[in-house]
Amino acid sequence: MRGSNIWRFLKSEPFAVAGGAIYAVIILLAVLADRIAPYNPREILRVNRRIARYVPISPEFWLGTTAAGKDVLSQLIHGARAALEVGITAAVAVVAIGTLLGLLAGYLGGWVDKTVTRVADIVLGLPFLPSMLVLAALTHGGTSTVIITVTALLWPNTARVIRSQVLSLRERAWVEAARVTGCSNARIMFVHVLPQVLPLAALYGSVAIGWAILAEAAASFLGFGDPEVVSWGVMLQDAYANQALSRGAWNWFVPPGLAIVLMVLAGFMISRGSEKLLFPKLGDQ
Amino acid sequence: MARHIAERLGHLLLVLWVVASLTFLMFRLMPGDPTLNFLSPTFNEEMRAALLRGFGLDRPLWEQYLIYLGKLLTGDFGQSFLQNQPVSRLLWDALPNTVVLTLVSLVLAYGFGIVVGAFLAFKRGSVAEGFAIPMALATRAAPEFWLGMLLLALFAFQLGWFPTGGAVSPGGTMGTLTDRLTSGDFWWHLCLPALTLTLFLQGLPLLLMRATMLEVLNDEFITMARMKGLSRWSITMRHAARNALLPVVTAFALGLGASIGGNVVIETVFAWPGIGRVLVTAVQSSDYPLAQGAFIMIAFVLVVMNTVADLAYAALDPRVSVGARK
Amino acid sequence: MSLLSVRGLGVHYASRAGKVRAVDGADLEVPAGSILGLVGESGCGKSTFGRALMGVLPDAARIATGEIVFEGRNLLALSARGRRALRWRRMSFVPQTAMNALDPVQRLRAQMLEVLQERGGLGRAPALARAETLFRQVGLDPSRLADYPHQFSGGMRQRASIALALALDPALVIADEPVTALDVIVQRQVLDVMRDLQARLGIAMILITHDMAVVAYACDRVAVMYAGRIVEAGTAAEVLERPQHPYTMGLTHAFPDVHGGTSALVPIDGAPPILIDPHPGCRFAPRCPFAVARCHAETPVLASEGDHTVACFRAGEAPALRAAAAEPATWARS
Repeated sequence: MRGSNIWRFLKSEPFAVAGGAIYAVIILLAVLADRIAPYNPREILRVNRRIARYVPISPEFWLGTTAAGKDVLSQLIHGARAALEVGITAAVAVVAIGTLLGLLAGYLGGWVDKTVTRVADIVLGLPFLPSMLVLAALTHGGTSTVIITVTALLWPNTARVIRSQVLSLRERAWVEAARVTGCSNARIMFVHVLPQVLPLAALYGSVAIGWAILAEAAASFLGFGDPEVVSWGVMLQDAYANQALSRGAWNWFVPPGLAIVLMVLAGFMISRGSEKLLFPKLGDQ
Repeated sequence: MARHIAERLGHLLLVLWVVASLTFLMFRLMPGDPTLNFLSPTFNEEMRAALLRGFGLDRPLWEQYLIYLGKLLTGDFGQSFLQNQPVSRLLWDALPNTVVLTLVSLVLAYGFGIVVGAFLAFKRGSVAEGFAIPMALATRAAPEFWLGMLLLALFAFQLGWFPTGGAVSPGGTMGTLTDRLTSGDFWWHLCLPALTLTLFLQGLPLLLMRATMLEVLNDEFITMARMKGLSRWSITMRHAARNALLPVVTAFALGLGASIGGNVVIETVFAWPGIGRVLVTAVQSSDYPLAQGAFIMIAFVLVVMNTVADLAYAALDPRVSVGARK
Repeated sequence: MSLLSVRGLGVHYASRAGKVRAVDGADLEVPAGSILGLVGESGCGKSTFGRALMGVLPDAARIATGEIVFEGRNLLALSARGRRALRWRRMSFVPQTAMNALDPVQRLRAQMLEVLQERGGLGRAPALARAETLFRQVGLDPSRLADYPHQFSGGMRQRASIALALALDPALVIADEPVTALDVIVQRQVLDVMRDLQARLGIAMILITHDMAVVAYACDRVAVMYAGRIVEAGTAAEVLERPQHPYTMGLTHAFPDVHGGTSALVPIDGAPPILIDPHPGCRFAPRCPFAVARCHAETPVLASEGDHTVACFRAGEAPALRAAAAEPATWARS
């Protein structure tokens, strides 16, 4: 990709740029959380010796406090860390497994393909949240459960798409050439074909981050998350369980949800925008 | 075509068997001794053994598996540990609630999504598009339960227009299905959860319909329709929309399957007594026959609807249903 | 008076690189009841020309100049509604690939009925009868009306498209590369159908093609298009046997002779010009072996000698140029 291409791309794809900007902000927040957050997110705060519960938006607490007297804004900022950790780990895992299986199935064909496709079909027959619930109950919940469930249940989508691409790449002349010159299957797959499918895999990765975060939020909300971790999902569960809704504590339950929306949305926007850069069609100049 | 159907049905059975088996394994591995729920001062080893026998937990694993499969085929999900009722009765009681919620929401969401999606395709590049697309994406990006929380806080707590949860008002009872469907109270309680689910679901059909319409409108046969001098209305509605609907219909069937399971969070937020909520409470209290039954039922609906979607597409697209004949 | 008379037509596309003049000052006359072959290389603008006549262009294109006088009326002066009223009734279109042009989810019968009833105002029974007649006219079994497009072979689909085009008894049918996607034997069958229809029904046709053999086989008249302009036009016999424009000379030698006889195939070197910001002078000059200084400076206009029109400054020397054009060496670039 040449420099001029990238610049023109940035101008013409506001969606992707906006998505990238949002991610940049979130990453910044996560990295600098300790410095930026006004308080320790786990600290019970007091005002005039009384625990500062349910404080509304005010100068000392920009987003108010929770039922336990903790600062909402600090929790929100620290939540970015958990979101990125879960999101990126899960996305990388989903993409790695999905791409590997899709590559093997598409290139090797035969029983490998049949097996992978069968397994993928069966996995797609499992309902997502209920499965995660059950697994969470098995393992006492936590972020690792979320990551494992997301990986175990979402790899088929990536695998299928990668498999189709590999099927069409397999017929190309340069693969024939590589085979004729005696390259082993493994070499062809990983050195020649894999780089070609990586852009598509990355595309799915950016959407997978969103799914992982939504899954973590749902798991936490249902009580199967890790209450020790400061995450947006846990914040929402906390708010719901402590009657924030009936008390009209909008400052508490709106921001975490909004943060999730922005992050997942950014993933969608980036994947939509990148399609044009990675797969230019005839007619785009 | 018949062969295709047979293939799909065979596949369906395979998946169901795998799901049932996996469920069996998962639940046998679940922590939590269910007999602890029955602790009482008079509890002793004898009673415990009797309890275990009653639930069939004293047999070896493979025997339990076969008994389990056998019972499943007759629709016997066992007895709930906590509620002392057959699981199947509890499930059949809860299932209609979920089905009503899901169907109502899906129909509203798809009706809305299809119309607005087609309209947006018609009015390409307008201001409406610039606004509607991010909104549709945002609703898909939002956690369902958070949407529910927002609506609950605003319309139930703040404004008091709707109840804050459940399917019946305090003091009322849920009767049979017909009772529920004809009860104004039931529908009133349904409003918020259905609205939330609709809001969450409409993004997909909207974006999908718009995307497929745009693709179809670029097709050669649409240019031909213009050359034939057909009116713009006729072209959009009769030709473009019909072609664009195919993937949307498939998505509907798939959405039905997925929603039955995904409703878990919505049912929890609104305390709506559906299958999802049954699953959650069952898992939380280690009532594993109930949890198992609920899970299987959800998975069953999902797989069946996936198959229906596949067959429906094949039936609707004449290129698949009517083979080439030269 | 001609059925169709086009003068100075200009069609421009907006593109990222600039304004593309797909058609740039084209003149054409089509007498009633004749089959005219509009021939030229890919990208010369002939498809755009055909679509401009129908008035159905992509959003990025617009008709910038000229007039299209059809049955005595300037189509470009009509309102959109007036234009739409004429479409298919007086002038219809046969597309290149009928697979994409026919609605895949509708049976042929429904597609024929739609045109006959909605645009032709016929009742259902008479419309059905006419649909069957049309199918017979193009050599298709009327029972096939019950089928979907994907159930037809390529040649049959093309015939079905022709039947559709004839539905409302138009005076002019524009066919855009109607036989290009077919194999040679089927090509001839479809062309025979078209010639037969013209003979029996007196319909005028414009056959847009890049294949000289098609022109030689099926057309009474020819118009040669290059870089968005018509450079030569006349009866098929005249233009093919005694071409006066160097480009036409090159074309006739670049195709195998349909009537047999072996002569060397002589391709024309170079590529067609990009139609953005055209340079002054004759468009063909850069590739023309007979170009002189004047050709690069001034643009030749279509001048007629009886029925035969040509846009070339050296048209008067045609016989000598023809002799030179027959030698492959003339066309080889140095």
